[in-house]
Formats: sequence, C-alpha cells, structure tokens
Amino acid sequence: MKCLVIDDEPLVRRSLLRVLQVRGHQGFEAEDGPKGLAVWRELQPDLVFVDILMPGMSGPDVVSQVLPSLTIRPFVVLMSAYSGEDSERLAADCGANYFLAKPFEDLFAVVDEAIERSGAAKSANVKGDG
Amino acid sequence: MRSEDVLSGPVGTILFSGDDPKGLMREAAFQARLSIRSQLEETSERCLAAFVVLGDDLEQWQLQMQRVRTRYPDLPLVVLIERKTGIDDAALFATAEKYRVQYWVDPQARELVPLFEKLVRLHDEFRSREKSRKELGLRNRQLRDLQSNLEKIVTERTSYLADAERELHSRTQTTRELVRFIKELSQAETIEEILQLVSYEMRSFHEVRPPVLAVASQEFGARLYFQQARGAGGRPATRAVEKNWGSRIVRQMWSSRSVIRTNDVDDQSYLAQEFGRPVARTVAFPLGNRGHTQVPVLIFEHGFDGEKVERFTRFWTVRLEPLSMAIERVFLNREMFSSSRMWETIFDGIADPIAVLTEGHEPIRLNQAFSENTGRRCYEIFAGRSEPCEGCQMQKVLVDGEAAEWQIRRGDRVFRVKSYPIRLSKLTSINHYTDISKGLELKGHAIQGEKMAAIGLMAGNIAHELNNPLTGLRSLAQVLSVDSRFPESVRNDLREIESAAERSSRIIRDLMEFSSAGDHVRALVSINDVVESSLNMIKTALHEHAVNADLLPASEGMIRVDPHLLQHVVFNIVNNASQAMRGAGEIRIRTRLAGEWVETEIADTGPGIPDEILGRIFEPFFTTKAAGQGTGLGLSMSRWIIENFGGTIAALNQKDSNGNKTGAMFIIRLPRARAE
Repeated sequence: MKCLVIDDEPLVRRSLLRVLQVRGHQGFEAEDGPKGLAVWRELQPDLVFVDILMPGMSGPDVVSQVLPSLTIRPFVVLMSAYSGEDSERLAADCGANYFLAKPFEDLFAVVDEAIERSGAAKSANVKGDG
Repeated sequence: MRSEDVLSGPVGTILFSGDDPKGLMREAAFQARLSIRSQLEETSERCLAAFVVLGDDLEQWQLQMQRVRTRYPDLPLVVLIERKTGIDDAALFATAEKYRVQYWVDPQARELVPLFEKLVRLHDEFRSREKSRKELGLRNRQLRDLQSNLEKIVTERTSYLADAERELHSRTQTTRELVRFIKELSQAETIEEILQLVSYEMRSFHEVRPPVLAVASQEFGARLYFQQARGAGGRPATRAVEKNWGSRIVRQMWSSRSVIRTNDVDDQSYLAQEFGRPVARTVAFPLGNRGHTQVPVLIFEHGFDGEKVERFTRFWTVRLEPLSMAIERVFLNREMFSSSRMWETIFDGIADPIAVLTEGHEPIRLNQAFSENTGRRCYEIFAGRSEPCEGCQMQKVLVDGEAAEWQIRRGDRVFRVKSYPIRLSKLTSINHYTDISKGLELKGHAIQGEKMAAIGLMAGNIAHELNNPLTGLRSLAQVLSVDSRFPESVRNDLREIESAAERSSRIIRDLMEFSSAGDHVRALVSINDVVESSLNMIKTALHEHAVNADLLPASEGMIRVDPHLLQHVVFNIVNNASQAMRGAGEIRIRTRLAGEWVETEIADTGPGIPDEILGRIFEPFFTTKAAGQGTGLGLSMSRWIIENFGGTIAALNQKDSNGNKTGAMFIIRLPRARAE
C-alpha cells in the first residue's frame, strides 16, 4: 500500500514512515501543505496522514483541494495536537475519514488501526463500485 | 402750849364720871386741850382716858368702874379718891387693882393738868407707835406680797424654762428623727424600700393603712405601688401595678393640683376602684416633680379625727421634700440604668470587636465580639500574645492624638484595626477591629484566578507547539526501540527516551485541560452519579488500597457541574491519597448535605499533610512529588474547577485524641442545585 505523510514535524514523519515500513508498506512524505498536495496528486496514495496545523497551508485545506481531482479516493487520516469536538468536526467537514489526536500512545496500534480502517473502507468502496 | 395746837381744836376726849368739885376736871381738860364728856357713854371721839371721881358709895363706884371696863376695855382708867372718904383702902385696891388710883386730897386743877398732858403725850406716843406699828405691818404686808410675787415669778419662770427645755428636747428629738429618716431614705435604692421606710416612720400613728404611692410619667406610663398584707417573714410585700396612662383615674391622680388633699373625692374613688372596697378618709401628698415628668403622690387611708389628721399632716409635711428627692433619685437611677443598659446592648450588638483601651493596653470596656474583660491586656485576650501585636500603633495614636489604621494577625485571621484617640478620665483609644481575612482571601483568589487564566492561555499556546515534536520524538523512539537491528543497550536507551517523551506529553495534556477548565458545559447531576462513575475508574487505578464509599441516596445532592471535570477532581485527589499512603491503607469517600451545600469528603489513612505546606498545596506548580511524578497542577486545577462551579475545596489533617495525624482529608463543597 502506498502511504503519504504530510506533517511539518520531521520526527512525526519519520516515525510514521518507519512503522509503515515495518508493516511492509511503501511510505512517502511531505513537509508542508503545497508539497504534500503535489506529491499526493503525483503518487495517488491509498492512505494519507495529514497534520491539521501547518505553516502556510492547513491540513483540511490540502484535503479539500486534492479530493475532487482524484480518481482513486484514498483513506485520509487528519492529525492534530488539539483534540476535541472541533478537530473531529473539521476532519469530517473537509472529507477526511478519521481523526487522530496527538500525541500517540502507541504508534504501532495507531498505524495498524488506520491501515485496517482504510482496508475496510476500500473493500466497501469496491463492493460499492461492483 | 403751842398756838397752832390751840387753833387746831381738842386733841382728844376724856370721859368723866362722878363729882367734879368746882369744875376742876373741866378746867384741867380745857388747859390740856381736851374735850370732856361727863357720862361714861360711848363716843366715836378719840378717848384718852376715863376718870372716875370716887364718892362715898363704893357700890356705885364699882358699878361705874365695870361700866367703863365693859365699854372701853382698853381705855386707861383713873380713879380719883378724896381722902376724906372712909373707904377702906385695902378693899378699894382689891376691887380696883387694875386701875390707877390716885388720891385727890385737895382737889386742884393744876394737879390734873400734868396728868392730862401726860395722857395726851402718852396717847401721842401710843398713836405714834401705833402708826409705826401700822406702817410696819404695811411694810411687812408689802414685803410678804413682794416675796409672794417674787416666788410666783420664780415659779413661773422655772416652769417656762422647763417648758422651753421640754420643747427644745422635743424639737431636737423631732429633728433627730427627721435626720435619721433622711439618712435612711438616702440609702434606699428601690421604691419598695422607700415604702417600707414610710411605713416604719408612721409607726406612732395608729388607725392608718400602709401607704400607696402613685408614680407616673409620660414615658414610662403610670405605676401604683402599695404594700400588701405581710408576706413570708413578716415583711410587707410591695406590689407594683401598671396603669394605662390614658385612663381617667390616672389623669385625676396626676392633675395639676399640687396641694395636700384631704378626703378628696377623686382620690377616694380611685383607691376604692383599685382595691374594690369603700374607702373612708384619705390624705394625699403630691411630692412635687422638680421639672421632671415623674409626679409621685403619696396617699394614706386613715381613721383619724380632725386634730390627729392635722398632726399627721404636719408630721409628713416636713418629710415630703426628702421623700420626693429619694423617689426621684430611684427613678433617675432606673433611667440611668436603663440608658446605660441600652448603650451596653448597642455596644455588644456590634458584630465587630471593639475595645476601649488605656495607654498600657489595659481594657476599659470591651464589647462581646472582642471578649469578656478578664483584666488582662488587649493583646493577651485578643491575639493570645505576651507582647503587643506586630504593627500596633496605639502609642502613636495616643501621642499624636490622631486616628490611625493598621493590621494585626490572630491565628489565621487578619484584622484591620482602626484606632481613635478619645479622652476619658485618662488617655484612651477606642479600637475597632474588622476581620478582613475573607477580603484578603478573595483578593488572593482573584490574583490567583488571573494567574491561572494567564497560565491557561500560555499553556494552550505552547501545548500545541510542544505536542508536535513530542509526538514525533515519542513515536520514533517507540519504533526504533523495537527494531531488532539495534543492540539491546541502544533499544533500552530508546525506551528511556520514549518514557521521558510520554511524561512530557502528560504534562502538556494536563496543561491543555487546565486551560480549557472554564469552558465546559454544566449539567444538573447527582453527586452520587459523579462519585460512583469515578469509583470505577479509581478502583482500576488503585491496586493495594481499599476504597469505602458512604454516599447519599441517589436522588439527593443535586449539583450543577461538568461531570467529567468533577470526576477528574475526585480522581486526582484519590490518586494523590493513594500515592501518599505507603503500604496498606484505606480511602473513605463520603457525600452528605450541609444546608445549602453538598459536601464530598475524601479521607485517607496516610501520614497527613505537613503543617508547613498545608497552606500552599493549592498553589499552581507546588508539588512534593519527585521530578516527573507530578506536574504540580493537579490540586490547583482541582481548586480552579471547583471554584468555577461556585464551590470551595479545603484540605486538613485528621487527628486522634492525642493530636497525632491520622491522615489527610479533602472537603469539596458545591452549591446544592434545585431542578428547574
């Protein structure tokens, strides 16, 4: 599975990529919104982790801009250090599938859950398509 | 012979009887200026002597002599005898022994003249003596009269002096009694005592009933005092009856008449109505009022007649003024006492402590809020100190004579003292103490609140900034620590890094919760629901400590809070308690109603909270836990949350009977809410 991580915090990107790699997935990264947007369009990943608060362009902005132009709809996980109702609603509004609050208690569990959810979503989509 | 004698006529008369030879008797009488009567008859003329010329007839002679004697018993009688008669001399003298017998031998006038003259002389002498005797008698009578008069005067004077002495004695006695009465009156302190004195004073008068004293004032209304029948111990009991000032009889009693009233119809009808029986005779003495509103009237009911009434009235008239003064004094004292009581009540009614103090800090007057006056100094009584309170400026106030203000501490309370110099008998200040602890506390809370809000804002801002790199750090350390390509030692290091990052995350989470504590939504919930839902969480967290809950019935103890935040507070306190108890221990949670409050008590059996930090545990960032074990925000946040709900939170140490600590206790009070 092709996975993309868009986060301005290099340690977050690297740790996520590591776990994805350990789990046998292909991981890509972008350090801000515009770059993330470009990589997303080019690679058409299956699973995308996007941080909400980034300098220049916010996570929800990236998601809401990219989604309409995609042929394959990926599973989008929005992440934020501000947990709570607002962040979850923000995620839902922009078209993201799931919200993850930082900090992560157990990164492996977090990634596994995201992969599982994306897989379930994909099969649902496939079923829907078929 | 003197010419004047001739001119003045005969000087006397002589009686003659017998034979006058040749008129010798007449001639001699003429020569001796005497008139002569020839018969021995009675005459009013002054007789000098009787002469009898004795003839021969003795019998005749004796008859004559007896006649003279009978008629003139005191008259000198001269018997003239002629020698020629033959009468026996012896017989003659025996018959006429009392008479002067003169022999008349040859009767010659010249013999008789000296005799007659002698008679006149003798008679004159006699008369003179008689006159002297009479004069003497008169003098004697006069002397006797004088003596008698003198004696009378002396008797009168003596009697007068005795009377005067008696009167003086009586007056002295009266005065002495009056003085004693006045003296006793001056010591009487009540109307009852005065009435007893009045009763005693009139002990010498019978037929009079005990006095009735009527006193009235516009202010206090009318009162009637009278002595009843003797009570226990033989002392007459005095009864006071209140009267309505407006009643008719009272107006009559205290009319403007200021004269002594005898058998006054109004007085009689008044007493008759009062005692429910006919009243015969009365005398009423208005005692004067000296310009005050008190108008005492002293009334006696008696059975005296007119004279006794006068005596009785006189007796009391001199006593009215001292009596009036004594009664007035009693009422003035009463007014003074009442006025003094009023000021005392006001003074004691002031809720703030007030003390009137001398230069030496000795109390003159203290109100109840200050303390009872135990005679010790103000700082000993009020603050339990052995020397003046820190910051005391009383000396300055007394020296400068200007008011001043300072603050003192009394245990954990702070008082503001306002001191004003006043001049009583000595240099004095009046100090007014206001407990400003609450104000200071509120001020402290406000400052604390501002601090907390600033911390919250700052925490919110930095939390996100820190969270991001921390998330990466922790996650990467976590990932790398399970990477089997690294040696075990490196992976252990990585696990340490992850653990440190995890703790940092927790601090940030606390900070973020703290910053959002005021923004939560409140709901009407039961304290029990909150505590019970916390208990599940608590029991999982506590492994070695027991939790016992003593909770209110489910329907009671409604509060309006954010249940999640309150759970957080309860959990936080229980967690602290658990950490404080080393080894086995028990946590007891109890909820109850306390008036308008719902109380939650959380107590442990740990070592308690050290006294020196008891006052600081709710300060932000204050912690006793080792680095990394606590943020120092738990209790300050708890207080922030509880106060946001309008409640209070307090910490204290439980102690056994010996004063040893038996654990800490937290008491959360939240306002009791009613369902709307």
